[in-house]
Amino acid sequence: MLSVKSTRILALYLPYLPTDRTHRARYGGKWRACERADRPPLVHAHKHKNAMRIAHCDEKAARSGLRIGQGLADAKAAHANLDVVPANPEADKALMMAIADWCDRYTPLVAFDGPDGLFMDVTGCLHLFGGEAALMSDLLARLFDQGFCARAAIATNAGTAFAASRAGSHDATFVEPGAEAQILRPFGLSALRLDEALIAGLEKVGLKTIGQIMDVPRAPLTRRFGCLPFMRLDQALGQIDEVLSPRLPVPDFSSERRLAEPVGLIEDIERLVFSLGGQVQSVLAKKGVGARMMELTLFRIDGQVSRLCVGTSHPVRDPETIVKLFRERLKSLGDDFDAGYGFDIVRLNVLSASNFDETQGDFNDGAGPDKSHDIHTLMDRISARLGSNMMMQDQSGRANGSSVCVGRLEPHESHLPERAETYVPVTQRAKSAKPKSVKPNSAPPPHALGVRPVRLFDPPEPVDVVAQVPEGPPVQFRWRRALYRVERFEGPERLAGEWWCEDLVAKGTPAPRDYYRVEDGDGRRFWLFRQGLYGPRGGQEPPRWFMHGLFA
Amino acid sequence: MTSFRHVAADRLFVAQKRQRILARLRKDINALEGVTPDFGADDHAAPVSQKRQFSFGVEPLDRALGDAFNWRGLCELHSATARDSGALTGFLAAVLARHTHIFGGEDPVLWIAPHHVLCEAGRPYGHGLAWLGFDPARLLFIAPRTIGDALWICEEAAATSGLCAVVVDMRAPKAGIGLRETRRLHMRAARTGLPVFLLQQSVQLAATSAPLRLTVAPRPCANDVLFAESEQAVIRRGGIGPPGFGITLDKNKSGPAGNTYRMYWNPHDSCFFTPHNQSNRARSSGSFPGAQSANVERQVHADLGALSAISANR
Repeated sequence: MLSVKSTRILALYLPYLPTDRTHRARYGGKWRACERADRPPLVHAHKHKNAMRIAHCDEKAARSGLRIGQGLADAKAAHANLDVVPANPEADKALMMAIADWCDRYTPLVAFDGPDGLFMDVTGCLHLFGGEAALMSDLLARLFDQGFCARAAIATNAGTAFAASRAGSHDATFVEPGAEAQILRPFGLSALRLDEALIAGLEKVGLKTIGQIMDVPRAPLTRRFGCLPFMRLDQALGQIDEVLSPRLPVPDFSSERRLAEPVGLIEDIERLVFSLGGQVQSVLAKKGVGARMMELTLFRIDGQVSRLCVGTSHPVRDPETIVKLFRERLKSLGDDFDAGYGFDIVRLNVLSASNFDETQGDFNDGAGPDKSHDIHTLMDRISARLGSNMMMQDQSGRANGSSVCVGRLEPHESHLPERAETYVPVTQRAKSAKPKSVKPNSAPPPHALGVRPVRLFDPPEPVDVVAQVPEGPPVQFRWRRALYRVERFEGPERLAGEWWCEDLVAKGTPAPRDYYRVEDGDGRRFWLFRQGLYGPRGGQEPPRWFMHGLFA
Repeated sequence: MTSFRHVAADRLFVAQKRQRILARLRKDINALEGVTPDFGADDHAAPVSQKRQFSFGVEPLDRALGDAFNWRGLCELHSATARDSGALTGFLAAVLARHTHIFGGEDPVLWIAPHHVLCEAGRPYGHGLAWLGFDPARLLFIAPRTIGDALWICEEAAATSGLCAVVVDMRAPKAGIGLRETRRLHMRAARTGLPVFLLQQSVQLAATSAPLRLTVAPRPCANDVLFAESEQAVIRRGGIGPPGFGITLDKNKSGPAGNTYRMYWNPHDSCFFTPHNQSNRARSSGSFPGAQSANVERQVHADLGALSAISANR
């Protein structure tokens, strides 16, 4: 006996989203509540097939008989007071993303469904809202207050919910598990997520409703129209599984607080973060992990959602550290942080966690582990204050180059001095941390590279050098418009090009470099190199001189 | 029997007297060296921690800086022009290496360098720092975008325990880093006892609240120049020689200021030396760590002749 599936999917449909956006911009969010009868019908127009056509209509225009795709000239002739606005698909998309962000308050599993719909998997959160009816009425009421015309349906699978929300008779439909076939019968074929050409073809053979398709034998229809109609039908009836992929990654741990009275002050938010951190701490402690990347989501009363992300270089569990990091992030926002009329939901998500090394506390103060903890906290606070707020989707921890973060210098095997060292952010290094071997204190670390400058120019700066051709050392040179006479020199040290690196070889065989360490009369030491060879081996270009570094 | 008891008693009395004398001597020495004795310890016990002093190894400079000198609080290091930034960074690396040599520890050093400084003076190179004796694995590097951010990071880091030093590598803005900012940094750093080095390149000297300010300039130091002032008459050729610095004390709260001291750095033993005091110089058969192949000497012979010919013809 097949077990009854217990998932509940909510399909949200916003039929007049683009025109609602225009109305909200003109009259404010509550324009539906104070509806004016003398408002002219509004359409959005765009150029399609070499003519200006209607892209979207609002309810009044739809009631007066205007259709999508109708020529604009005809429409204007029929309705003299028509209000025409150019269509703006990017703004519509942005608004849809903002609504999807806002729907995060119900469930984190939100998926897009075309340009005007959303799927929300509300299986696990119905009990938080007191049942399906309460959730639906809350959702539709809030959307109405924001100025959107919305229709929604809850069903066991996405296909039925889609069909019920599009073609159903009520704004809110509840489909019991097992009643899908009965509900779907009277709906038209556009509720099955088929494209226009396929629907036209099916109508030509006389199939106009889903009920008719259900009764017809499958084989001839599949031969003629492909497998798509029946695949969609089976998905709608629940016989084929359909997987919804949420638009944002689902956090591992999450804790939220819904407030009866909205808060706007930063101190209140910090206190809330502290208490949420305490709840998250107990859950993390049970699993033995600590948080590495955390996100604070603040839902404003008027629908805007703010997300603040912080990352740490080592697993963190205690609420004080979490509050410190978010405090720095809030400070870095500064004036951009606008609470509006206040936040009514505050949620702390742990996006990624890693194993937490437990250390046994002792009675000494100022022992070793505390020092490294201080340094880690300092680096995390610096990253939170000055780094970017982007959520690092890449789980390997690669930080983007523009964000400010603390890093270490790691040696790298390369002939070219500017590539012999890489700057590795501390977060990445902490992931692959090996225990540092204890080096003897007084001896400088062993180096096989030879003499190297203290400061390196990246990229090397070209200089004008007077030198004996072909292999002589520099005698005098002009660098940054100042002339220097070489008193002493050491060299040359030849560093060959790296023939195995594809990106260098693409520009031609990399030329060798002859490095000279020169000193001028005042005692300044420079690191010059000549790139290229004279004669036939050097190719067409004559060698050039560069300044690469300064010595102590 | 009684004679033994008397002898034992005498010996005990002498031992106690010796202990008392030794304890008093130890106390005097500690007072001279500036070591605070451990409270609660017995009089005849040695103080628990032998505090070591930082010394350059160059006597006139150590005398000018005073006996109780430690790198605590803000210290400013200047160079007159941006092209001297190599000498400035090298001197700082040498000081950090010597600090590690005397006091030990593997604590990290935070290096803060705003982005435009890296474009002008180049970025610190780990292999070069290793050649001078400072382990680049201890370096925590950060490049903020503005000077305000850099000063904020410095202030927060100065209040953190667990760091060996904080280095702010910057080119001062037109308004300059004035009394207020330096005083704030100094107070923070002195509270935790952390050395904060403010490196400024090519800046005009303004008033500062730091207790110590040095100006670093490069000095030539080929072996023939080095040995010219010493008793050794043999002039040895062999390349450029060890790094040399001319340190001028611009501001010194604990001693005289204004003098310039010439010193050279020996990375193997982590110490400075002067031409007059060659005892700290590295003893190795003519070759300096990092001198090139054997061809160098011959080439230097040949080309020094050519160079001198060119310079004579100038």
